[in-house]
Amino acid sequence: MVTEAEIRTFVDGATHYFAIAANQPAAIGSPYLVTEGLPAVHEYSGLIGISGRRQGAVCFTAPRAMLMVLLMRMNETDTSEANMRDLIGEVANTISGNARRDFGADFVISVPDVHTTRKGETLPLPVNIRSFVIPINWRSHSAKLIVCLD
Amino acid sequence: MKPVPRWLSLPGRGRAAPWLAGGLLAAFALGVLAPGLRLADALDDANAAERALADRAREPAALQASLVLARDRLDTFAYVDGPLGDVRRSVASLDALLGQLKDDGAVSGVLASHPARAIDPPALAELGAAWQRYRKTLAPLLAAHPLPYTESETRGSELNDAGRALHEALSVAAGAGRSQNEALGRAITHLAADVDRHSARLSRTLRYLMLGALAGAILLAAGLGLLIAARLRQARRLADVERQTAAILRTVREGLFLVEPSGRIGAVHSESMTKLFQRGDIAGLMLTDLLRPIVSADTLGTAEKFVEVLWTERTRENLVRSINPLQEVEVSFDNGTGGRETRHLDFDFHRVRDGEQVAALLVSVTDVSQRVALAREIATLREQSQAQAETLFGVVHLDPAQMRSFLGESAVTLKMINAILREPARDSAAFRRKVENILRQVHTLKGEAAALGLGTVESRAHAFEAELKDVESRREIGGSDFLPLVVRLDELLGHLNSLDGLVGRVAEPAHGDAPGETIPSVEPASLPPLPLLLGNLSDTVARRQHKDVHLATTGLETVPPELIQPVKNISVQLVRNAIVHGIEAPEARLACGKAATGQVHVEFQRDAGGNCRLQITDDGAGLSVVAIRAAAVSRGLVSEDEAAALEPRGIYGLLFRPGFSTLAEADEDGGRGVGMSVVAEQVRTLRGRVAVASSDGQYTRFTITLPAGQSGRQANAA
Repeated sequence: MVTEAEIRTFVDGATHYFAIAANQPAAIGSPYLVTEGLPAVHEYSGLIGISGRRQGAVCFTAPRAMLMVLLMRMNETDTSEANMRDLIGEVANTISGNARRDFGADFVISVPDVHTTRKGETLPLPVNIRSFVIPINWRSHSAKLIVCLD
Repeated sequence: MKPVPRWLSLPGRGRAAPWLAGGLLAAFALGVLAPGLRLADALDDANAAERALADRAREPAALQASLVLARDRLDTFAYVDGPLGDVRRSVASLDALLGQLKDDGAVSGVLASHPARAIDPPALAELGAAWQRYRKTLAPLLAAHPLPYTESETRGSELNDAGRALHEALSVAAGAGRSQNEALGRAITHLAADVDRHSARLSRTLRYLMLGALAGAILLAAGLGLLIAARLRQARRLADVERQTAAILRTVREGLFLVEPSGRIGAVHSESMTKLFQRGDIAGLMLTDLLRPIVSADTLGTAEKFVEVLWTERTRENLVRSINPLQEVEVSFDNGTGGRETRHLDFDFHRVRDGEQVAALLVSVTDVSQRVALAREIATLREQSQAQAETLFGVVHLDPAQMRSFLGESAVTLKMINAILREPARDSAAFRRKVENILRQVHTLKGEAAALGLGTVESRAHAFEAELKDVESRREIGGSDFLPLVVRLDELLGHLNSLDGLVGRVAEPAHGDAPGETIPSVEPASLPPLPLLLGNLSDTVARRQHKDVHLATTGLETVPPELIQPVKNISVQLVRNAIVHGIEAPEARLACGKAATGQVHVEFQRDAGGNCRLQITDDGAGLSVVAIRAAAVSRGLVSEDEAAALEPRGIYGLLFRPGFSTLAEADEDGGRGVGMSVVAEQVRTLRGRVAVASSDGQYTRFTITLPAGQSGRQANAA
């Protein structure tokens, strides 16, 4: 059973990135569960595999528009596909760093894997585990943190 | 190894041994050297006395010779001054000797130190008397004499008067000398012999003393040798003990250390301390400083008080141990990457006594993280198995149709809650609305679980409800407040899924069973008979509230299918409220002249026009306007002025406000102020009305009227 503390660690990782990199904190929306099927994702996703005491994955997924504004906020003019992927990878890296700090050796956390998806496509998340979806609201945009652990 | 003698091994005496050796040496020196020196002095004196006596022993003879010589010279008219001078010297010498003998002079001084062996006083007195008598005859010779001769031409040399007197004196003295000299010589010889014997005794004593000193020196040397050998053995043993202690402290897995009365950790501790506490500066550290970074402030405060109690000698050790706040205490360390690593340590304290006083505290620390984790895992498994057993028991005893229906409705409820969560929200008001809506759903689910006797579902729903109420009580609500809520939802969902699986397994035919013997499959979504459902609920709640209740139902079999759900939801809340708030405890009922068993009556009627009426009546204490008013004010639903201005009808209206309850503390059966708002919501949805009638100490009656045509609306709402 996933605990609140575990979810909070991943959430803090994501919000920390916005507070530091964009100098503007992100807010958490109302979290919910995905009980059937796979969670829908935005165009860009950073996927972190988790093994050890827990098995599963954590994913930060954001729409292109949000990443673009984020890049601009960071005074980055290069909004190419590669830069978008780098950015989503950075957020995922911050999340995994936070998790390594809090969970120590109990969690084996993989290097983030960046995915670009089109509408209707899903990520290779475990299908038999309920996912927690936590909206990450930043300015007028909304990304999602998906925690899918057994 | 040969043990060190006790007198050397004891710490106090061990330290005293060198002093003891030094003392013995000094005593030996004083005991041998002082009398030795004194004896040597005495021997020297005795030798001197012996020499003096030997010199004086010849004096009487010399005196006699001088007297005779003087007389002979006088006879021959020779010069007599020489022999007379010798007489005077001899007299003076013997005077001096006897004077010394009488006046404790050099000779008698030696003898006086040995009075037992001194000259016999009468003999000395006789000697003195003899000498005095003899000396009287010598007295005329001692004065100066004129020339004793007269020279004349006619008669030549002849003695004159003085000469004749001198001759007479010399003759008398010589005669006396012959009789006295022997006694004098004997006395002096006796004295000399006595001094000689004394000298010999002194020599003998000195020799014995020297031999004794030699023996003492040998013994002392032997003693010192033993002492040094013992000290060396002790030192070797101490080194062995230190080596063994170091080996133990290096190897032992537990953390071991002493706490001094000042609260500081002693200089020696086991090596594992460094690993256990992830620091190297433990020796000399205050115990509180060791604990402060790793335990909570509350635990630290309690631990400080606990250690204070440990120093109190009166408190029994077993009692003290039972209140040890550092047993299996949770500690957290910096994990080196900026995070915290949580572990569990078990501290055990023992008093180290010095006599009656507590001199130190011996503390052993064990890392029990694995044990605690295992215990928790076992507890969880036990809880799960117990829950499964309870659930299985409940499932077996429940009508499968009821169980299916409950699970189906619960699944819908949880989906509804998840849908509420999923709705986008960015401000506190939107989040609060979500909480209120979810509260009603969870409360309804809890009520249904209670009605079916599904305690595991009810307790989870209760915990979920508690979390919701906690969030609702906050001034500002944000998305992060929902994290614990979604975890509770996940937990409840998981539990209902496992329950569903359990029901499925119970309903499955056993392998190998003959056709016809299989358990009939459960009809999906069969509706439970309301009287049974409410009866179960009544029994469960009454048992928990320690009340005797009889539930009677009328007409519930005629509830149209589309109204069963809302009638059930309303009835569940009102029956529960009737038992919790209305029906008194048996003793209270008997005291006011009522039967011990309270009566609750649920009645459903439908008239020809299709209008429905649901009435729930209890013969309990009735509604207390005063209590309702006070509760509404204390919960902040209305101000005191508003409450005072309300009519009884308005007062009853407060019952349906979210958050209202007259119970000070919430339990599984009530107190959160959700149930009546659920009733109000249901009635509002069906466009019905609620009427409340009550008489103090007599009864309370809720009448819900549902207008015709609401069946279809309810069906659409579902």
